[in-house]
Amino acid sequence: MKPALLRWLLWQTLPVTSIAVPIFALFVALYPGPIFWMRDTTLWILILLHGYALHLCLGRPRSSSMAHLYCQGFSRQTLWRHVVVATWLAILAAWIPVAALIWSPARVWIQSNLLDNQRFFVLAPLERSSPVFILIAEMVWMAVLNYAWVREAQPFRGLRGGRWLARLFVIVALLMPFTQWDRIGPSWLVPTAMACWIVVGLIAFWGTFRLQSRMEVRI
Amino acid sequence: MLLRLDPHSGEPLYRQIVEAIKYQIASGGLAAGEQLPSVRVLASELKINMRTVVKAYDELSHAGFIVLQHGRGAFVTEPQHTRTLVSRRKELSELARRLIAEGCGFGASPSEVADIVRTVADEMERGL
Amino acid sequence: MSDLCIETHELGRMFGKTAVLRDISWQASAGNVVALLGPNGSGKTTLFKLVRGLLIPTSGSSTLLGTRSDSLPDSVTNRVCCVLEGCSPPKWVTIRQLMDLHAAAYPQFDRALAEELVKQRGLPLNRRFWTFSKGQQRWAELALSIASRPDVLLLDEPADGLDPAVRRELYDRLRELANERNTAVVVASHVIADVERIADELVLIQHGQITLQASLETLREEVREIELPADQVPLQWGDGMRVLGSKRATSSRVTWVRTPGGDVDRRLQGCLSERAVVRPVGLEMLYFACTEYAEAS
Repeated sequence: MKPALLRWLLWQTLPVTSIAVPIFALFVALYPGPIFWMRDTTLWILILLHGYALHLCLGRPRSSSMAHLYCQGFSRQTLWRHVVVATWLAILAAWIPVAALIWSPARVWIQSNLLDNQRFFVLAPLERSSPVFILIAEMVWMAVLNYAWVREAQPFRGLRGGRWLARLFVIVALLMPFTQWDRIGPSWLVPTAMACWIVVGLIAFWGTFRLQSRMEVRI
Repeated sequence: MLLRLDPHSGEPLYRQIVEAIKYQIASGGLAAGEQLPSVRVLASELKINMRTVVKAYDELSHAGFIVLQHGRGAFVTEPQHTRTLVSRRKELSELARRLIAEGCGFGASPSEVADIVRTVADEMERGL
Repeated sequence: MSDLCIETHELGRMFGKTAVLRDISWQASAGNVVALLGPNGSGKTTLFKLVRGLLIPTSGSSTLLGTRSDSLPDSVTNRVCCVLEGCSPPKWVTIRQLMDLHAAAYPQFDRALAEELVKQRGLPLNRRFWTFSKGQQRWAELALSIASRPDVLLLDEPADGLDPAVRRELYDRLRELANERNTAVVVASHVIADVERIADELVLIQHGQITLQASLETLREEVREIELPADQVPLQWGDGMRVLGSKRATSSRVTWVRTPGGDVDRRLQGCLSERAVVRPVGLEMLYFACTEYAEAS
């Protein structure tokens, strides 16, 4: 790991992170009902926007600043490793306050004392697992976006495939909250869906790693 | 030693160096036994490839103007009078013919060229 | 002194159905400065990108410091600097940050030299890039590349926006890199007089193909400009002589001829009448001869 390169990439994400952190924190602090990752459209919109903005900062092969980085004396593998780590760190920066609010008594206290939401402490235990799901959702979404980017920058083939995957992800994410699928379906549905989710993320991640070495830098 | 090259003239640089050093020797700017700058130094001074300097020095040493001593550098030789009088006259006449032909190319007359040669020779003898 | 740093073999690249580069077989050796000339859109930038592995070739192959360009490891990339048009650093960066990045990328990076080069042109290290003029930004980028002391340096239109003094400094420094550190320097430029001053080799690219590739000293030996009265009958050229281009003026005709094999002037004299004027040719005129006034072959 080269700290200077990582610093450089984190600098690039700084505008997004500095906006995303307060927005996420405020959302989580003020949201009145329990936060269920599978039932909440607003949360999904925040996750999708945050991921896309990070992607614009770190992953546009046609931006001159990324092209500049690819001209520097780093190999593709080194650059990619640092881009991935910078992405994870940027995600963590927005996620940590969220998790801290939910897992500490802070959110319950804000809701019951400041917002006069008397019944909240009864519902609070329901959202205990939400931070984990939020983190996974962001990771998978970034993996899909990076895959779309790298796939599009391949020299001669299958340019749009990644983009369709990303669109599918958005559609599923936005429609899911309306279906109430986790209540209607059998008990194995939620864990299975989660597993599928993670598998898609892993495949996208692995595919990106395979494809990035032949990615082209065009401006 | 002050050499000036014109990279835009279209003349090979090594030949410009050869001519410049020959001129310096003829005009007394470089005395017999004097050491020329090393290849590396001259190349970095003139902002050219070292190979070009090597080629110029080789040509000069081949023509007998300098001698290359391994590990020590290049030195100006004693003026050599090894050529016979006849061959010298012949070579000089050939040079003169070429000079006059070139001069005529600019529209000068042969006698005008001869005048210039005399003036330049005077200047060189007076060490200008 | 002649170890190959860049080697391409029948390299070609298509964009859609357009062939931007075709059959580029080219070599660049350590310690040499190569001038890459050619009209706009002739494929110079694409060639740089293929060599540096930023693009993948459609045909042929390219190696950089002995490794295939499309799979360069850190041990190669950290000896190669590449300054391309449109690949400039982000505007929010300071020179100091850029230096840190170079120090991380290039083990040979000489921070003292970088600071000297930048400061001597009055650029403070802590100001953001967008406060500098275009030429100053360019110089900062170039200065750091020079201070990275690479084994291969690829520069695409480096003099763009630089004032004459900085341009002179740039080219002097490039020559110094080639002489002192044995760097292979490749410069694509439209300012021919600048590169003529320091270059050893010329590569001329037209319509995606190399049309002329030779050492500058060889070209100075072999190429002549011949001016003949317009009414003179066409000449009979000797063996091996090649007409590069010709141009008709009001009262005369100028022809540029390359005569390989030495003793050029005497051999030309044999082909020419008394009234012909033979002159050596500078690089700029040679460029025009091969492009604007080129003989249709």
